[in-house]
Amino acid sequence: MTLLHRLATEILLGTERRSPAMPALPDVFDGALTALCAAPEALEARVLRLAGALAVCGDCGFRPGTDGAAEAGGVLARCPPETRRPVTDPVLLSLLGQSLADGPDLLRRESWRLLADGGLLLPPSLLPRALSLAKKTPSLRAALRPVLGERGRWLAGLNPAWRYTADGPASGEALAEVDALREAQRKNWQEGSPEQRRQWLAALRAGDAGRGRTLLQENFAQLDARERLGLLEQLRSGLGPADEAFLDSVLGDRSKDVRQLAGGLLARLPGSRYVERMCRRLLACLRQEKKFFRPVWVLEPPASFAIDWKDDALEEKRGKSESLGERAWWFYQLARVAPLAWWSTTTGMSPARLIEWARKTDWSEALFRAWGDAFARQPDAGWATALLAALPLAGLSVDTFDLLDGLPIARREPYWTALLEGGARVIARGDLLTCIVRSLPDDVGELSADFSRRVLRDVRASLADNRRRDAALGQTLPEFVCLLPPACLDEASRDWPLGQAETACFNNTVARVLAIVDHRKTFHRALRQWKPS
Amino acid sequence: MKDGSMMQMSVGEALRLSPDEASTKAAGDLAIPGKWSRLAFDERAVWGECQGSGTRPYQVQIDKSGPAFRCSCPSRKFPCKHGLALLLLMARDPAGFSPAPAPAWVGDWLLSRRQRAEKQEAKTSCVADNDEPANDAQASRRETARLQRMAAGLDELERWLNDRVRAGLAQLPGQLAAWEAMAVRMIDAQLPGLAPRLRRIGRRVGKGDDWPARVLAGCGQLRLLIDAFRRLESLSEAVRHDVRGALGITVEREAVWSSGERLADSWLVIGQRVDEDEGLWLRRVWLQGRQSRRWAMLLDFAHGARRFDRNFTTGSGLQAELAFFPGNRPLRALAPADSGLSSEAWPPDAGHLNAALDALSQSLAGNPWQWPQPLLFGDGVPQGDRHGWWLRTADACRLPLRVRDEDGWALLAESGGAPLAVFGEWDGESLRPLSCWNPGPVCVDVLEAA
Repeated sequence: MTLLHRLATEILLGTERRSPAMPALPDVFDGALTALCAAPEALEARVLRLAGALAVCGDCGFRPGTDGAAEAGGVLARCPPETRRPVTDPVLLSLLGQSLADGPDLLRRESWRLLADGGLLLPPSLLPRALSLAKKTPSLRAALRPVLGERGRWLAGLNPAWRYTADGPASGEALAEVDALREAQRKNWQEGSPEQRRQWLAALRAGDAGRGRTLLQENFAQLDARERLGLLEQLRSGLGPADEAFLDSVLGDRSKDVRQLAGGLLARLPGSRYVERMCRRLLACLRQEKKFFRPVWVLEPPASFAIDWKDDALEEKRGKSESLGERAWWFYQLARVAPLAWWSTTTGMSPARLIEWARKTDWSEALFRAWGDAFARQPDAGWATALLAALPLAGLSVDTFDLLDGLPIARREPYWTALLEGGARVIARGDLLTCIVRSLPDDVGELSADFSRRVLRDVRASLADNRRRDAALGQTLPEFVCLLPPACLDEASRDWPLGQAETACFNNTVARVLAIVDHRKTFHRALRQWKPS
Repeated sequence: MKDGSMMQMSVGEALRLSPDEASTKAAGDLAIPGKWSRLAFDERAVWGECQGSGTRPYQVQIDKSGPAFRCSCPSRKFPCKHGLALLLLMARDPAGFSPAPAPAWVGDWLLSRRQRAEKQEAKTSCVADNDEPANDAQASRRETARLQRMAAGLDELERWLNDRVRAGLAQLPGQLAAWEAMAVRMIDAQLPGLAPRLRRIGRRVGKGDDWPARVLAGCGQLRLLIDAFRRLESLSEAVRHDVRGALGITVEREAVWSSGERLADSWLVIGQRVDEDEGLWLRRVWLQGRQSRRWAMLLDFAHGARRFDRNFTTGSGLQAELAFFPGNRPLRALAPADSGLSSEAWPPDAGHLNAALDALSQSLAGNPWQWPQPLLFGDGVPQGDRHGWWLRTADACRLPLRVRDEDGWALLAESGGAPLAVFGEWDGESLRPLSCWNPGPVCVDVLEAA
């Protein structure tokens, strides 16, 4: 305890109630401190003066505390040396900082991808912000990892919130922390709310699918229907053949919704006994006949609902709003489980011919609906092309963008162009561009120059023709210009209607677009020109 | 920077002049050549016209000697987003600017700036030359009256402090208003320097286990000031200035220019901090002399908006003859308005913590009223835990840092676990880092709401 602390303790109760014992003073400053206390003045003044003098002495003689034995082991290990160079060019630094602060994510991803392509790393000063950002936005993580370097990985290893970056085996400390977290969450499972249990199961499935299933299986019978449904839904993550037996058992659940969800999950396992059973039943509805000496497939949906179908979560009664007839409804429930490949293998017909065939049957709506469901489970480029070519198809349960998801990026552009040209009456440009941007995978590079120019022309015309406000366009256009190829950036910075009263509502959007285009141009140029010394 | 060429300023340096993040973002959106017309420069200024929301474009100009900004937009920020955008454009693409004779709106402004500077200089020499006896007599009467008011104020403070000690420190919690009331009384008694000290002590009450000792220390130092004032005449002139400064009597800038200590050196802008308190902006710019190794602090105030006459970039060099305010350990200084900043700077010579603390002891022994104190050392490794951040030296010393968590991580990222040169403001208990050097400057935080 310092002299000052002792003095403060002495006057906690006040000199009025208790006369303080002045602390014994060391013989320094030739007794000057002692003289301060001895001056013939009021006690309070002497106490204060001594306190002041001790405070000044304390300030002047300040020495920091040292690590105790307990903390001595907590000395940081140094970061290993980098094998690649962090960016040091001031222009690149400021642009990287700016995109980190303002986004959009596509701009951030592009900047980081370009750095990685050039064998460069993010500078240390930006690492904490980038790591925090990617913690909140998982879609940035894949682009961030290659530019973290040793420094970024070292830093992430020190902050539990940034452990998501670890792609190698976790350190002992990290594992201990995960275990501690699990213990806390296990408590949540036993004592927490349904939502906490759901989150815990989701986290467990993401890390250890088997443990998650076992946990659910052990507790399933004690849960009410709504919670059974919510928790069963979590099996979608990490779903695999090992889950089949449990899901089979759930097909007999008391709740219709739970049974149907179990069926839906089993349908996602193409090799499951459930899918086999359904395909067998489906096959019984198909037969080949000779027509004009050529074999043709004839579809004959079931005439009655078999008793054992109920065990597979099929429903005999249709819903009140169901548009399918009774037989079509039964048939649809069988058909939606079959993988799309089964149809081609069984009938020997290509997707395009199958669609053509389906159109001519009386059961096209049930077929298209079933195929849509199967496509949503397992997108397929061949089926996507065939279905897109045949649009519109009554009953198809997936939309154009779902179908486009099944195609490589380059093959999607003609369809987008078609939507832009013909479909713009149906879908606003802003919504269309939003769908395009959203539908792209995280690692997509750029769009083609032709398509980009087409969109730029169209959007400018759309802005000039300002009869309809398109709020979505304002939101999505800045993101869209992040996907333009560098060859189009000059064009993208020209010919915007700026400063005109009619398009004033788009001024902010256009300003943002121009800023992003300029940002990208400057970044590309600076990266080309920068020669690390 | 007064040459026919463009200003050599990097984007990073330009952005460091930004008053806040919103301005940085807005300037980024405006720094597009397409939005500007008539981008040009001459030997003194750079200018351009930026299309805003109105019909007439904003006229934006930068005096290279500052850099000082002027824009015809109504923004109260300084520099405004247009000024900042012009600077950004220049940093990114100097080829977009062409040499041209200054138009009238640029020439007029430069002329008015020059006239103002001349007037200032004239005023300075006036103070030096015109020691008229009549003025002296008036000033002396004013001074006597002020000293009387101050003496009465300090008597009141003495009684108040004695009462606190008499009633006991344990009675203090929950009485924040009493400290504020006393602070206001001190301002009324022309002792404005005591108000922030009282408020600071009041805020310490009840915070942390050792608050009684910290509060007593603060009160004790006020007592020392009372003592010092009462024997002002017996103190050396330098110490007298320190005491008067601590009580809030400032020396006029003109007097500093005319009679303050002058020191010419290459000064490194090593850190700066801006605080805002109820519309009053206060900026401390810290300089270190390259040859003299002296510290200097440029203290500026702005009312209403964060608008300072001059802007400084941390990490730049300033070739200037500074004038120091008088005192036992002169620290506060003035820089001539025409001294130019150069981006050619040098990393500061940061030694061991022990040496820095020895220098700090000397400084505080010379003037115990000066807070905060500059502190620079190079052998600390940033470390943190959920309780906070500190710099750890090889001999296991822990110097506590007063830093936002994100800035703590930024320091750690810069260091990579190796010792890092850190400069900051020392408040007696913790270091508020303002810059680190690795080897170039990295600003830690310039503005944090007070």
